[in-house]
Amino acid sequence: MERTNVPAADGWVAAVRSAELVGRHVAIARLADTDIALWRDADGRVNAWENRCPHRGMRLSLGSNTGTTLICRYHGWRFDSGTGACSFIPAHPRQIAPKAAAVRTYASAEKYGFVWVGFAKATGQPDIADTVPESPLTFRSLTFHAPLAAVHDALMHETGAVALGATAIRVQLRFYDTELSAVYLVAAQSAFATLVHGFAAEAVPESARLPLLRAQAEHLKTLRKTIVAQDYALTGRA
Amino acid sequence: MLVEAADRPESVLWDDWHVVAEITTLEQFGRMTSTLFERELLITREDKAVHVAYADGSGRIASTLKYGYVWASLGAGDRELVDFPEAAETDRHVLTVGSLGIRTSGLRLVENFIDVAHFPFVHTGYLGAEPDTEVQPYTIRVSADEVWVESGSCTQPMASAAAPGAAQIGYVFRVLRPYTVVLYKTNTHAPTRQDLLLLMVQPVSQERCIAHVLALVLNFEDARDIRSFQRLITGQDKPILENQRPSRLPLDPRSELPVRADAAGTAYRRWLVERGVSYGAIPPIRAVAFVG
Repeated sequence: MERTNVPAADGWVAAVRSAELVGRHVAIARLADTDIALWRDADGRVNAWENRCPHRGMRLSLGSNTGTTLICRYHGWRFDSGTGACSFIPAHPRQIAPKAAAVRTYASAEKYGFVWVGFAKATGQPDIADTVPESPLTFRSLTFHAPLAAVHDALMHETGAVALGATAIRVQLRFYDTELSAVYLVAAQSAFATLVHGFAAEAVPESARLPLLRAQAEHLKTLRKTIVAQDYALTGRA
Repeated sequence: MLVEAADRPESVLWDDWHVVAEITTLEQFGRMTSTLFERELLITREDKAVHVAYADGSGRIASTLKYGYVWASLGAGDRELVDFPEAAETDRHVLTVGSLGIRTSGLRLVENFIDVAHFPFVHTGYLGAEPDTEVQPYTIRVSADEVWVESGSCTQPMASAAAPGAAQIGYVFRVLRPYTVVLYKTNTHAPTRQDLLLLMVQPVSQERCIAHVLALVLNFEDARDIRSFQRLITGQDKPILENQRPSRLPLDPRSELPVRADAAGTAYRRWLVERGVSYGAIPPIRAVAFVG
């Protein structure tokens, strides 16, 4: 069986919808074979951290978000919002935590209704070089068990598809008597899994939102079935 | 068989005795399967004799019965079985208190067992509670091929099913074998004597194991209380252990960041390195000289 490596994560990658980081929730995203814990502090700042406590490898996504720190579930180590530095080790409450006790952090940004994680070479802000609303209506994100290139190809066959760089595609959606412009964002989770996000690239009237979201979700699931039905593992296509 | 012979673990593990079943479970069904080092085993009981064999019919395996368990060795079976003289004391009860499958390396499980720093966070209200989180200095002794961890005492809100309330509990951990560890714990009713809690890990694969816990206790009113208490404690550890990454225990001192409270875990890891254990572990990175 031919194996392909996951494309090295590069630049800004859309991880989760901003709306998923509510309250003290700690979300997880798997991007480029890396587990990332995402949490919003009390000031609204988003942290994108390697989902692994440097102490004993515990997934930090099971920890508690206090609003200023993330507390590891295993031994209560506290890591500061922003820097990821350890500020308290309960086993040694009167000592200063060693500098090396820091979580690996990634750059993060919020744009187009999504939280983005900055991998190597991420600079400035995520930008898909297109005119879209500030806070668009976002669709439900779906994982396709297919390589990113195959998912990108398939989305390029959608009505009116125009590539906006390597990981965004503008399409025309038509459901019932509504037609509107939308953008899909693709993110490699592994060599054989791709996360597909999407949002409406124009304002959607309140009354049309729910039917649109339902129809779009059905459409994306159908598309996923046709792509995943092709056995990439056996054909070696990637 | 599930794996090639090349996946056979080191002799220190392979040739040792491992718990593969509780006798009571076997009695219930007469025959059962079990997995040890990725090899499927068939355990049968005929009259009073227990037999353990490879499930694919490729041969019989050394087995014996002790402390309510069926033990098996894939090697020659000439190693000594662990032995606890306390089990023979007339006022002591020997109780198998439960077996729980955990999706992680058995070595991670042993390290968790000898770690007191997690008590206030994982066993909150039982073995510890905030703000009493400080770990007092303790001593590590490696003697007679075993690791001994002699801690001071820590305040425990409810140290056992029989504990009347919060108490200062003295702890001694003793790692006898890579997968066998015992805790000597102050008895809350007889402070001069100790209860023993044994953890025997059944290595199913490099990233799967079964935690078998045996109690050698002085007083108990109802075995169900002890079993449900220990099941609660192991059940609290399970989601922690299954969410550690990597699942295999990293033996390189630089791969995870220990503090002084982790001296027991650090000593255990070093002891495993000295014994050449790599099954269920990530061996330390060594400088390798290439010749030619």
